[in-house]
Amino acid sequence: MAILEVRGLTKEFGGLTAVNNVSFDLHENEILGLIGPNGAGKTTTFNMIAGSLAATRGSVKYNGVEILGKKSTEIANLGIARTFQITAIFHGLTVLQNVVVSTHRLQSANILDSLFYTKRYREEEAAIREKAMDVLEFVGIAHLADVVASNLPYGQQRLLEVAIALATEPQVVLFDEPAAGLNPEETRMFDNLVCRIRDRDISILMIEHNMRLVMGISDRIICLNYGTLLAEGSPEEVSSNPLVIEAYLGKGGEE
Amino acid sequence: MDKKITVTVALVVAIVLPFLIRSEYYMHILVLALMYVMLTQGLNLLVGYVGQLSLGHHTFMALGAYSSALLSLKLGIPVILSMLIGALIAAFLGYLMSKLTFRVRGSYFVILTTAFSEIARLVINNSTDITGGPMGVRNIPSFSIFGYVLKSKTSYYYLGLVLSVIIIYVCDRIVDSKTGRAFAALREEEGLANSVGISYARFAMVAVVVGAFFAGIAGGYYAHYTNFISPDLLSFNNTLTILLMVVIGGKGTIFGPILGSVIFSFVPELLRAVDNYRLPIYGIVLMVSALFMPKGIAPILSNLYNDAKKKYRKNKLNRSEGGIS
Repeated sequence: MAILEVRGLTKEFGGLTAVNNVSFDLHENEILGLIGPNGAGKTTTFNMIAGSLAATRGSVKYNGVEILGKKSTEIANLGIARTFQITAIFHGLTVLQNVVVSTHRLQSANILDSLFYTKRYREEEAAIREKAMDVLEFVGIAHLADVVASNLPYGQQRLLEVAIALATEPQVVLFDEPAAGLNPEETRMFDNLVCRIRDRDISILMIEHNMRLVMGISDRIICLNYGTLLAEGSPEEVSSNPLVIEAYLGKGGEE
Repeated sequence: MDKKITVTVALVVAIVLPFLIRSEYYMHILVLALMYVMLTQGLNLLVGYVGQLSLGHHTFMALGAYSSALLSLKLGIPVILSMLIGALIAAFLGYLMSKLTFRVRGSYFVILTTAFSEIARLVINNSTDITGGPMGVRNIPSFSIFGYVLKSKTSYYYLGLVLSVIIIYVCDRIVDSKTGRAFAALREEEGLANSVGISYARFAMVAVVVGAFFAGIAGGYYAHYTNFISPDLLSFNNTLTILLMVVIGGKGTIFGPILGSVIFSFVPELLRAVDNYRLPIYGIVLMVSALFMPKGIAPILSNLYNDAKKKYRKNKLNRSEGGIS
């Protein structure tokens, strides 16, 4: 069953059509790779799904409910999490605080609970700390819980981003080039991490330029070029598709 | 544990202080310092936690002051009630302001809040038949509780202390809750905060409204203490003073603005000895602090304290190790 149904998604910036009539499904519990050359409209597609950019036309259904036109905060609260192409973390907060903040949508104690230090407040505070530590454990940076996030090396900042996304207990995660800038060793670990996230019954849509990573772990792959959907299918099908090869490498010369 | 000790010591000092200070004049400065504590705690929620600079905070104070003064003077409403209504009116205006400004950030937010306070100043200045215009409001009734009228500076000091402690406590609890964490998230990275479901419009509104309510209380406190208010409350100087207290005291901490309020209530007075050079010295102090303590005084103090503690522990450890060998 499709958890995310994208139909006819279009974004026009003035005369430029950045994303043109794109349709695809994200199935439950799958890793769907989204590839394409630079400027193909991948991140634009992401931003429209996540609600941070208004679409010109089209429809995005999440569990059968239309979400296009909703604000990014509403979409986050429905259970769609995302990471950003350029690393986004809460720089001035500690690693643990980063994740605790991100459990926002799961917290129900209000200001009054905090003011009167009610049982609900105390229990919830303890519970979200535990939960946050679990998430940090899961991505493998629990030992850095008290480090201020801006002091983390780049690779661990990317892991923290994943922890932030997971802390919202999402059903769908949108990863925007999560492995960009990672060294081969870190990329391998990332491989494994993405698969383990899928095993938690989370569906993943992932933009990635690292072909070995994306071909290795994706169940299916879609390829965008100049804003249109070029190919869709298993990693083998897509990587042998002449249109895709042409988009990446250009047409062969007549020699 | 540290926090409990610090708070207890501070409270004891604050309670004993009037017995140590004989000068009426210094009691007056202390009362004003407490008023500034109430103002800066509220402003700090917005400036220090949500991370937006407002130059309109004194507007809420003036609104609370005028509302409470006029309600008690003209309609004979008991002062406790009029102060509460004044604060609610200020909070409502805060709500309107946040609805008008939620789309803008940074310098644009500064400009809009400035414009907002200028409008308030002009309205108050020109509504002569209600506010007395530039003449101000005179003969405002003093604060009274259960028929007991507060007259002495010491009694206002204790009233201010009670109000300040409540306000500080509330701010501390807000900061330590889901709401306070959402503030910090918006300050650190708004786009990411949105992506985990935290909305700027909503939480900036909470910060402004709570801050405006406290400023309204501070305004009422001031009006019933001095028995006279004028549009001077809305001078740019006033808003700048409050902002400096927050920023130089240490924005984004509960302790910082308290420190800033006390220091910047007394510094101008201490400089009276060199009266002619007072303003230049004041200016230089501000410049130096902005350059060398961009995070304010509070973090420096807490760092010193932590270092001292570390050193102490180390010494103790060395000594005990020495004992074993």
